[in-house]
This record gives sequence, C-alpha cells and structure tokens, in this order.
Amino acid sequence: MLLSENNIKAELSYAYLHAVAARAGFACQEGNRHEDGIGVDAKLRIKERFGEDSTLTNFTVDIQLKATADQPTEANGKYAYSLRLKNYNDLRSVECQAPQLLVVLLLPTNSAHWLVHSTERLVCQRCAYWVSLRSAPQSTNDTAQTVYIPTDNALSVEKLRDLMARFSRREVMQYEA
Amino acid sequence: MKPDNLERLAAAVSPQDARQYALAHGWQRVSAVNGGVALFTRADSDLDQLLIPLQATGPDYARRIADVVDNLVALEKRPAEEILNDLLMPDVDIIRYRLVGADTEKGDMSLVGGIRMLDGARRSLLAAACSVVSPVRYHPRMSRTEALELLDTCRLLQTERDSFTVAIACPLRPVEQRQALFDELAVPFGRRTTDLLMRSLYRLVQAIEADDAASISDSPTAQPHISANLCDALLEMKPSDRKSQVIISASWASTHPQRASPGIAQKVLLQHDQFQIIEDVYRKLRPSPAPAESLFVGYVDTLNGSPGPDGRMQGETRFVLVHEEEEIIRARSDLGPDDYQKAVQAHGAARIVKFNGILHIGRRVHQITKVQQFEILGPIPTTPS
Repeated sequence: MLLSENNIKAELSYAYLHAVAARAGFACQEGNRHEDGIGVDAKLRIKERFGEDSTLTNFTVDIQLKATADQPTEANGKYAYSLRLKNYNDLRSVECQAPQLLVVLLLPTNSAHWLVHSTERLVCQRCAYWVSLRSAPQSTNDTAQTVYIPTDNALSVEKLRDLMARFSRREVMQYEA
Repeated sequence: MKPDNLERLAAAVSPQDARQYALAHGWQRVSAVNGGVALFTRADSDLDQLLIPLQATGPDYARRIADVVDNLVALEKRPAEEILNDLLMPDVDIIRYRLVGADTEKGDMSLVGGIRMLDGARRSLLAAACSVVSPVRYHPRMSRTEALELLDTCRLLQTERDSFTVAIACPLRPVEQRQALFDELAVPFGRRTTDLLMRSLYRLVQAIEADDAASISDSPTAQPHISANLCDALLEMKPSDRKSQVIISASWASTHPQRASPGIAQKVLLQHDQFQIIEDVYRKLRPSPAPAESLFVGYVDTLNGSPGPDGRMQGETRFVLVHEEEEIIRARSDLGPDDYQKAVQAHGAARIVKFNGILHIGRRVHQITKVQQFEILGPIPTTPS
C-alpha cells in the first residue's frame, strides 16, 4: 500500500476536518506538514461577519490534527490523549497570534469500520474532538504529555461555527485540565 | 507557490514593512485592537481584513505573514511571488517586464530572447533616468552619472513565473549624498525615473492607440518626455511571436506611495503590432547618425606630437573634454602646428581650451576631426624673466 496505517489515519483526520469545515462554510487548507513535526497540519480560513460584536471578519485558525484507533480512557467528562511533547509545547504557547486547536479523530478499533461506503451514504464512524491547549502548564515529561479533551467538544458543523464566532470576537480559550 | 517556500520568505518580511505596505495600498488601521496585532480594514469592503503581528518573534509569525500574502493575492490578483517581493523591499519601486505568449507559457524562453529582454529592460530604465536629468530627444551615450549610479544600485529579482518576467528593483534613493540635489523637488531620483518611465510608456501607447504617434516626434518637448533611447530599449524587447505581448508594470515603494493620477498607469501593454510604430517613432526621434560639428571645452591631457615637415611640433593631442549633456569624454585629435602650439601653452599653464570639431565615437578613445577655432580660455600667465 502506498499509505501506512498511520498515514491513512492522518488523511482521514484531514478529510474529516475538511468536510466539516466545508459544510460550515470555511476554507480548509492543508498545512506544511513535515516529518519533523514543524508547522501545522491545517489552517481554517474564515471570511464572514458572525455578528455585530465580531471584531474579526477575515482570520485564520491553525489546527493540529491527530487520529487514533485506540480507545481513549474517559474520566470526568474528558478523554485522555497522549500528545507528543513537541506538539504539546507548540499548542500551549501564548505567543501565537492566531488561535490554535488540537483536533483528535477517534476511529473505531477495527480499521474496516473507519470509512464505510454504500450507495446511500459515506460514513466516517465515530468523530473528532477539539481542545485549545493555550496556557497549558509546562510538562515535566520527556517525550509526551497527556492532555484532556472534553467529551462535549465533538467537532460538528454547528460546534465549529460556534467556535469560529467566538474567535471572531477575539475570545481567548484557555486550556482547562 | 508551495506553503513551505511562502512561509520561509514570509518570515523575512518585517512587521513594519508589512504595515507600511498595507497603509500604502489603501488599508486603514483599526485603532484599539489589543493582542500584539495590527488590524487593517478597507473602506470598500465589509469583510476584507489584514491581521499583521506587531512583532516578528511569535512562533506563528511566518504563517501569519503568509496569511497576509494569501489575502493580498486574492484581492490584488497578483502572484504571491510579486507581493512577497514588494513586502520584502519596501523602499524600492519594482518594474516588471513580462513577455506573455505561447513561447513563454512555461516560464522560460530562448536564451537570446531572454538576454535581449534583460538588456531592453536595463536600457529603458537608463533612458528614463537620463531623461530625468536631461530631457532630450536622444542621449548619444546614456552615460549620465546619476543615471548610471541608479542602474548600479538596481537589483534583478528572481524570475516570477507564469510568463517570462524580468523584475528590477529600483531604489528610490540610489545615492544618499546626492539627494540634496533633488530634495527641493521632494521626489527622490529613483521615483522620478520610474515615474517618468511609466508616464512615457503610457503616453506612447495612448498615442499609438489614437493613431497619433506622430505627435511624439512632432512635439519632442511635450511631457512626459519620450526619448529615442526609450523606444530603442522597447524594440529590444520586441517579441518574435505575433500573438505575444510585452506588459510593463510598476509596484511602487510602500514607503513612498504613488497616488493614482491621469497620465500614468500601473501597467502598460505593448502589442506585437505596436512595435512597428515604436520603430517609426524611434527613427524620427533619433538624430542622423552622420557626424556633426559641435563645441568642445576641456583640458589638454597629453601631447604626443612630433615635428612636421616644417620642423614645428604637431600631431596627436589628447583631451579631457566636456561634451553634450555635460558628459566627460576622452578624445584625441591631430592638431596642426598653430593649434598644437596653443595646446602646449594651455597644457603648461593648466588652462582650459575650447574648439569646434566633429566627434567620432570609438570603443575606448574617441577622435575629433576638423578642429577649428582652437582657443585658450583666459590669459596665459607670463613667465617672470
């Protein structure tokens, strides 16, 4: 196969984001993903006036995409997800001018169920969740840090639009562990 | 342009230059926006915005400048490379000479054609610079010091694809210490040159399209000035393919915004069939190549004469002379015994001489023939006995 299983998961996560963003009316651009993890996986480009109180009508949100077929542990309404330390440190930065989000696509354990097609529907099973890691505490780990993603943060079209409306008002979303 | 390349170059854009660019291109900064970012909007758009970081130190700085470039690409309908060049060089005017045609679709062209294009571009700027200093129909040598200094400081930019493009960055102030000469005019020499170039091209094309090209040679003093040299430079860029065209455009330095005004266009398009008319204009503007008598003033440099049949010294004399357009030239002449004697006296007393003659341009040293009315200016001091 041309793509490894990890590559397939990465492509599916981008496809998920792209599909939801497109339906929400936002442009989704593939970022300059490098093997060494520099850069972002995707950018959402927004050009819309969400409301009278919106300051921004043309802005960008950087997205770090992840996908996993492992079933995450859930506690206190949050999924635990182990993130590479490099990604963790990038995403917790308060120096970034644009909002940054971590989006994790949770896939079924059985890869045969990742994408199911019929003449009636194309189904990507389970869904992606988002979290802002801005202002997250410094990690004392060497390679990875567990982050906690609220189970309420399913990335749907409506949720994504709501999220972008908040960014248009320049709301800063801090990480809550 | 690949995102990697765009971000790599975007990282080199300074926040100040990006903001300067925005202001120079009609964006208004929104006050009271916090968060380390400058927000710009446009009066003619409800949605368009530019978000420019105030500092270049943020980890996403390059991505944010790349966003700015993306927005400008969509709004200005120009390639990212062009906009990046403008952002990276805020204190230069960039003149682009673009050959568009089937032969250049892939961004390449013949080597000979490319060299001619480059040379035509260089000479068009030089011609305009010479005309800023001295608006005459024809610059015999295009060697005005100010013009050459400007050309020396111009930079050739990386080829911008989608056609074959020669892009030249022309600094507004090529030589700071000479700027005093132009301060009273408030417009720097580089801008006066690019402004004249674009105005001249606009006038030329307007006249051709109005079937009134004769007005250019009939009224050589009319403004903006068009010289034979400019026409000659354009002819150097003439495309071989009948369906091709040359587009010359200007991106004005954001530190010195150029207001839109009648008589100047940011982009001038030269169709293939217009080059024949430009050639006619060139012929009418260029003086007859037959040598004509003119006045020379200068110093005797060296005396290489020898005794003639009558025993008197005569022959080769070299001069440093001021010629047309206050151009300094070195020339030699074969003087008869009377004039040679005067040359010896002038040389010994470091006096200026003047004479009429016919200049023959050579590759290194020029020759003057038919020397007449050879005179020493000022009295020759008498040697105390």
